[in-house]
Amino acid sequence: MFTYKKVLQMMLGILIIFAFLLSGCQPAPTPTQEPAPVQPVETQAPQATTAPVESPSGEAITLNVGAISFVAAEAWRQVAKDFEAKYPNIKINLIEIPWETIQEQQYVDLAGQGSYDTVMVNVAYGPLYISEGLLAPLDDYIKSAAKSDFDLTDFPKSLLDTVTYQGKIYGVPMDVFPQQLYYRDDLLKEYNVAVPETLDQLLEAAKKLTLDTNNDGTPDIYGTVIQGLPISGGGGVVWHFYPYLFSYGGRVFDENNKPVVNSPEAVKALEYYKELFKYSPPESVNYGCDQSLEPFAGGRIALATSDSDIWPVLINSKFPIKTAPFPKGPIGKRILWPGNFSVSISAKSTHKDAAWLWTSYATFNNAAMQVYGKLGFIPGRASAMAEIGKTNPVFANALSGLQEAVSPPMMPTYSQVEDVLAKKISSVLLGELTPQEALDQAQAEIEKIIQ
Amino acid sequence: MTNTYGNNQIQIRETNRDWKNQRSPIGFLLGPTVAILLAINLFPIIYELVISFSKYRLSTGITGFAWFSHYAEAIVDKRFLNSIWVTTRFTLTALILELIIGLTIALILDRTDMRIRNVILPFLVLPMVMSPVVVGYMWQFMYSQEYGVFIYFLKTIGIHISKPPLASVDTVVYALALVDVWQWTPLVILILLGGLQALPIEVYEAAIVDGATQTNVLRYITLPLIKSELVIALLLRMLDALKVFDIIFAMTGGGPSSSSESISIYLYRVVFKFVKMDYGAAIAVLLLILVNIITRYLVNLLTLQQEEVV
Repeated sequence: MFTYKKVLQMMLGILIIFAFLLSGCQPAPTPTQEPAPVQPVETQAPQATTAPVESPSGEAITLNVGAISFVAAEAWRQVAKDFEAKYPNIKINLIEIPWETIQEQQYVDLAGQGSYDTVMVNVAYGPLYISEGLLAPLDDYIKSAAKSDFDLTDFPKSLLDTVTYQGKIYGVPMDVFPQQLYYRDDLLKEYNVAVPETLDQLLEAAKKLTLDTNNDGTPDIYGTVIQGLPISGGGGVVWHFYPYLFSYGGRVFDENNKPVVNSPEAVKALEYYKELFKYSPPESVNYGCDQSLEPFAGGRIALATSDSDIWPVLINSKFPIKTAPFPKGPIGKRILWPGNFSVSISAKSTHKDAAWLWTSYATFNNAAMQVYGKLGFIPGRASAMAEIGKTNPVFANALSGLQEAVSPPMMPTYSQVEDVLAKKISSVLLGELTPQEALDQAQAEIEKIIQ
Repeated sequence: MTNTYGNNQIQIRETNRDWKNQRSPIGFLLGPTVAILLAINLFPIIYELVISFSKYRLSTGITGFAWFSHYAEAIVDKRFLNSIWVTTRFTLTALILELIIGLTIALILDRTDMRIRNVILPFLVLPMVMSPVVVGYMWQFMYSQEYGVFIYFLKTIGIHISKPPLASVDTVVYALALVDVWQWTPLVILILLGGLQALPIEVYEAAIVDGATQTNVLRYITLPLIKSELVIALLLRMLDALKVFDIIFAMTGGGPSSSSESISIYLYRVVFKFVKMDYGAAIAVLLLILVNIITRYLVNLLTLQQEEVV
C-alpha cells in the first residue's frame, strides 16, 4: 500500500530525474569539457531569383517578421503590402515587439523555439546573437542577388561594420539614427545666442540659457537635457555620451579591441559631460530618451543633442524647434555613433529563401525607402540616405558626421561593457567619483569582462 | 466511566487506522492538482537549481558543471551585495510605514460610522487597482523638480531640497518606498480592518468596566487579538517588497548609478541583458532561500499565535 508520503517522494524523484534528462537533451558536449566556441551557422547556397518562392508542398509561405512597435512597425505594414503584391505567395506576419524588451524577447525566441524568420536587430546586441549562431550568414544570398534587387556597395561601411563578424555578413542595415543638435530657435534669438558649432560653444550656450524667469531659485528653462539613465544600449547615458567621447578623441576600444576608456581624451570628455550636466534638469540623471523628449517638446529645454529618430516626435511641438549638425569636438571634427537597426534572418528559419527576399526588399527596394523617408527615419541604404538628405535639411544635419562614425566592436559581451560604463558615468554625474576614478575603474572592469 | 472512555478512544484510533488502510479516492482526487503544482512550481525550481550548478546558455543548454562557482561569484559580487542592501532598505522602509499608517487608519475607520466608512473605503482601495508601472510614471512626474506636486508641496511648507528625490543617491530608495506605501497601504488597512471588525465586543466592555485606559486597551487587547492579521499583512507585503521590480524599473531603471538596483532588477539585467542564465539562476536560488527563511519565520509566528489562541 502506498502512503501519501511515499507517493510524494516518488513524484519528486521522477521530477528530479526528468529535470536532469531534459537538461541532458540539450546539445551539450561532455560535462567536463569547456564549452566550445559557437560557430555561426552556415546556410545552403541559395537560389538567386526574384521568382516567387514556394514551399515544397506548393503552398503559400507565411513569414514571421519581428519589428519594433510604433514607427518601424507602421513602416513595415506599408512595405509589407507592396511586398505581398509583388510576391503573392508570401504572406508577411508582422510581430510587433516593444523597444524596451526587444533584446530579451528576440534572444529567448531565437535561442529557443525560433519562431521568427527575420528580426530587426539593434547594433547593441547583434554581436551576441551572431556569436551564438542565432543568425544566418547572408553572403551567398548577397553574392547571387541581381544588382537591381540588391547591391551591397550601396551601404556605408560604418553600417556594414555593425553586421560583419569574422568576415561574414549577418544582416542588412535598415535605418540609421546619427546624432544632431536640436534647439529652440526663439530662445536663441531672444537671448542672442548663436547656434553652437563646437562643444565649447554648446556649453556656453547651455550656461546662458539656463534661466530662472520667476526668481524662485530653481531654473524654469534648462540650457540642455542629457539622457542619464544608467543602462546599456539605446536610450541611455552611454549612447548619449558616445558622440561627446568620440568628438574629444576618446574611444572605448582601440583598433585591436583593447579597452582604452581611461585615456586622457576620454577623461576630458567625461569632465566636459559632467560640466554640461550642471545645465540639465537634475532628474535627467534618470532620463531615458523618451523622458528627455517630454520637457524638450514642452519648451523647458533650450538645446539638446539626440538621435535623429526623435525628430518625428519633436516636429509637433508648439515651440519652434530646429536642428543643426552635432557640434565639433576639440579634435576639430564631429564623430558620431551610428545607432542603427538591421534586418537579419534567423538561423532556425525554415523559409530562408523567402526571408531573404523580404530582407532585401525591406532594406533596398525604392518603394520601401520612400516609405521610411515619409515616416521620418533615415534608411540605411546610402543612395536613399543621400536622397533624403537633399530634400530634408533635418536629416542632412544628422548625416553630416556619419562618414566618420565609430562603429561598435563586434563583441558578444559589449552589452556588459556598456553597462559598466553606464554605472560609472552616472556615478560621475552624481559626484560620487571623479571622471578619472570612474574611467580607471571602468577600464579595470571592462578588461575583466573581455578576458 | 474510565473504562468506557478508554474503550471509546481505542475505538476512534482503530477507525482512523481502518480509514487510512482503505483504498481512499482522496489520492486520486488530489492527484491532478498536486501534479500540476509540482509541474509548474517544483519542476522549475529543481531545473533552476540544476542550472545554477552548471555552465548554461540558452542557445547551447548545459555544457558542463560549474559546481559552486556561480554562488562563489555572487557572494563577492559587489553589485549583487549592493542590490541586497537596496532591497533591504526598500523593504524595511515600506513595511514600517505601511504597518504604522495602515494600523492607524484601520483603527480610525473601525470607530467610524459604517455609512461614512462605506463611502471612504472604495477611494482608499483605488491605488491598489492601478498598474504599478502607471503608478511609477505618475510618481515620476510628481517627484519632478520643475512641475512635480511633491516638490511644490514641500516648498509650500518651507522645505527646500537641492535635488529631486529620485536624482539623489541618498533619497532615491526612500522615495521609491514611499510610492509602494501609497499603493499598498490600503491592502494593510483592509486586512487589519477585517480583523478589528471581527473582535468580540465583550472583551472591550470588560476592560472598560475594569477601568482600562484607551492605550492599555490598544496595547493589551486590540494588538494581541489582531496579531494574526498583522502577521498576514506583514507577510504579504514583505514578499512583494522583497521582489520589487515594476515600480523601480519604471521610475529609475535601478539608477542613478546602482543606487536603486534591487535584487530583481539586477537579476533581470544578469539574465536578459548579459544573458548569463546560469549565474542568474544562482542569484535566484539565493533570493529564494532568503525569502523562504523570512517566510518560515513569519509563518511559525502565525502558527504559534494560533496555538496560543486555541
